[in-house]
Amino acid sequence: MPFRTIQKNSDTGGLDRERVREAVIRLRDRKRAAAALPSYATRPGTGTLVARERPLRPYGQPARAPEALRDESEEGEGQ
Amino acid sequence: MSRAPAHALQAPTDSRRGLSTPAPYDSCVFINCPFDAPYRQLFRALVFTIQDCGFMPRSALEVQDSGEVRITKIKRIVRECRHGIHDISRVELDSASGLPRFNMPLELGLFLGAQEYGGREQKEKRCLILDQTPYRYQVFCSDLAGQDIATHSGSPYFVLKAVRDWLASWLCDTGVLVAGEAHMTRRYQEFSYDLPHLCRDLHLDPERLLFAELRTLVQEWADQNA
Repeated sequence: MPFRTIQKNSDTGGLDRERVREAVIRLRDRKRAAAALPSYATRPGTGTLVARERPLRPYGQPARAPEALRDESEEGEGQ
Repeated sequence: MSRAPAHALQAPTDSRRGLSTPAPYDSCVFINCPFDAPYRQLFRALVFTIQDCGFMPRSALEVQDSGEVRITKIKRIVRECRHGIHDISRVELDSASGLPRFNMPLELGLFLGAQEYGGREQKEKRCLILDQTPYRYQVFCSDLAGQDIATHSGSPYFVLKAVRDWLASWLCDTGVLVAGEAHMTRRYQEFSYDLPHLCRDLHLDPERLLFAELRTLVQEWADQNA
């Protein structure tokens, strides 16, 4: 039997162990779900989530309007 | 990686105070180190590595009971731990008082005394002594000159490596293997990334975590991310 199982009801500093477990599972599942999204990636090894790199805007060129970005994402969805 | 050390099923020690579920003597690791903010990252690495190797970290901070005299509490915890990690790197003068702090060397002395003069179980104690740089301890604590001391250079990753190697060498003798340093380092990095998110979810302040809270968070994280 793993030692941690024996320690289930040990002194936790007032923390509800079930709540902590649920929070850990929630975070783990959220990370796994986000990792499946195309705009995020997990860093190799550590599993931390990072936004995928996008090409930098050329110097002097104005930022694209939000509408243009939205159109682009809709096109992507339709494909 | 096995997460169940062979020593896990030994009989618990008899303690009047302390953990509500007494931990086995062979599984307990006494942490003797600074508890100040500059040491926080190293302290977390210590707690994480001990638990990821399947042991139970113990510290004078685990019980906040004004009814128990501090030195009595420390002696009780030392008695209940087979393993001890003693970081004697904090030799700077206290900025407020201008005096050095002697708690770590005192507790190391208690541990070595128990090992020398205690009963059969106490004689089986083993310890890891840490300092920031090699050979420095020979100047400020020359009686330790014959000891083999590990150094961490103030880095949590060196702490992780030293503690992992030390615990793994003992586990090897009991037939249990633990993950390598690189794997454990990656897990520690991931835990460090997750900790603020978990604290926010649980309405905890990551900068002001109690030792028992940190221990619980590490335990549950390690179980769910095995």
